[in-house]
Amino acid sequence: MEGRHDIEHLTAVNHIKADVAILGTGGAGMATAITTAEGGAKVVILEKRPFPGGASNTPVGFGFVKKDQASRDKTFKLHMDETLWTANADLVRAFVNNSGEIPEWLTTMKVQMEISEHPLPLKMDEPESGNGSFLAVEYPEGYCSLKAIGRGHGGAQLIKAMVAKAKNLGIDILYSTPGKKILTAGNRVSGLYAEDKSGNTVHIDARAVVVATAGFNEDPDMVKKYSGYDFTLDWHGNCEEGNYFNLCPNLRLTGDGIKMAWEVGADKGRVGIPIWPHVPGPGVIGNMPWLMLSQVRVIQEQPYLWVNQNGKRFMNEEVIPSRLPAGNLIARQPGKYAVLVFDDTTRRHLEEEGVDKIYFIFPAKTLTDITGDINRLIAQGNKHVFIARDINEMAGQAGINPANLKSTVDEYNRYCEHKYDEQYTKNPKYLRPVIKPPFYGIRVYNTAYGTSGGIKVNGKTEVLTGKGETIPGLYAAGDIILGEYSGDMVNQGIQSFGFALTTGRIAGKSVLEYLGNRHKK
Amino acid sequence: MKLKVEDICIRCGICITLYPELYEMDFKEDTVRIKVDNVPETMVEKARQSIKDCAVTAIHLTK
Repeated sequence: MEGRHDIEHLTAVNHIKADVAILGTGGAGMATAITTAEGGAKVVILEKRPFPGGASNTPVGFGFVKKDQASRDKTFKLHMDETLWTANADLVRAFVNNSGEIPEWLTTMKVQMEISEHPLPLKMDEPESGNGSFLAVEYPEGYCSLKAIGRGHGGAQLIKAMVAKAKNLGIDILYSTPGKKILTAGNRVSGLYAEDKSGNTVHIDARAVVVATAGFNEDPDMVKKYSGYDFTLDWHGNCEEGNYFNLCPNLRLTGDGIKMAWEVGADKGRVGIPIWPHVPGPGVIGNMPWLMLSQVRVIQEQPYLWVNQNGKRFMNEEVIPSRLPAGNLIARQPGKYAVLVFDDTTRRHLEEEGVDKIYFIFPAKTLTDITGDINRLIAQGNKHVFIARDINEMAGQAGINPANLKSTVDEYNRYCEHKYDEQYTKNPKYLRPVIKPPFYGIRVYNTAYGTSGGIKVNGKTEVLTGKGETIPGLYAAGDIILGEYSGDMVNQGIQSFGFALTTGRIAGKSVLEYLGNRHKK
Repeated sequence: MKLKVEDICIRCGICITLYPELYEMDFKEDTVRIKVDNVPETMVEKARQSIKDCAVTAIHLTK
């Protein structure tokens, strides 16, 4: 049953006493743990999996708001205006006020990073990058690029450094020990029940509990219920059926912390799935989202001719690199997909002159042997890439209405000739006619990196009930409160990792204040 | 030579994606499993590259 755990069969064999118990060793949980331990608290962290970090092992960096008051105020106003004040203003204020100290704080843990003015480690001017891709709600101003090793990402190194720091501070990290139930005494939090690897109950007495367990990617019922989306969960990232699929499928995020908090009266905060258009596999991405295996993921960013199943255009394709609007537009098309169609002249343009929109994860300017790449995918059984001799054949392969596609292509070619998009006013420089065979097609569906939100909090990250009252001693940080930050502009991108680290830090400070106050009493 | 994946492995899947002949994910046990007892001579170079590619230096070659 959702929100409940059967703990009757558990036998408590381990009794731990701590000031604060934290659920989750991602960026949020580790930031809370280190902050509270640095303040003198006795800290225990529970991690469901046998290793630390969870989704925080995959970010390449994070955005932050500079420390000066003018930057904080500007970002706050901008963020609130862009979310039409649907975001939690107190939490956004706390975020902008605390975000700027994070890079410096991490440096004390020997985290290796590079700070840049720009929110992305790319030049955004020429050729244009999808700078709209991170949406209007994200104005980080500063960007912290984390040093990675191998083919991995900097997040893994940051987590490693935070775990080392935690060990130095004497923090207990219990791996393979998921939290099962938040305990209360009266109206206050009094600890946790967890379950160790052998199925024994671990009873933790703690005056404060911080839930930093991230999302519910892998609970399809919750995904369906709270987002309205059907995701096909495919741990191998292949998604051959082409329905919605999940890009971070091996994180074991089943909403445990959210359910535990709800069970003790936490209000449901804003919940959303930040969708992101993506070509399904096999052969496009690896088992982790940043591992690019094919150039079609870059071609997918290009604002050329996009049609739906009916063969009709439905957007100014310049919106494509902006993930949220593009994802929502595609989700509203019949079959919930769109097809990018281009001709051999554009294929040569991509290979010789270069792309018009850079994909930041795979920042190639010129592509090579696109035909070979697509043929390789076809040979691997990918059903979402096409090469056709004429438009009719393209329509047949991609499952598009042939007569409509023909008429859309004719109409579009006329716009290209006149350098004016009568339909959606697309910038003429992206009007590339579809004339010369062979024709290429790439079918794009939606995916998501994670879920956003679930628990309602105030600006101190104290968990709130439906009546807006706090549950003393209960805090939440990271992705599970990201919905409060994003408001109606559900998002998860450059800012989610910075948000996790910052709200973890805020939660830590709040817990210290709470412990101090209670101690005085 | 034998490959070993240490506990610090973050199950990100880089090795299983790039070197499927050497590694596979065991979703049930939540581990990365090595598919070869002894690394054949023809795969030693790949094994070495997989060690370099790992996100957290969790992979090692032993005699």
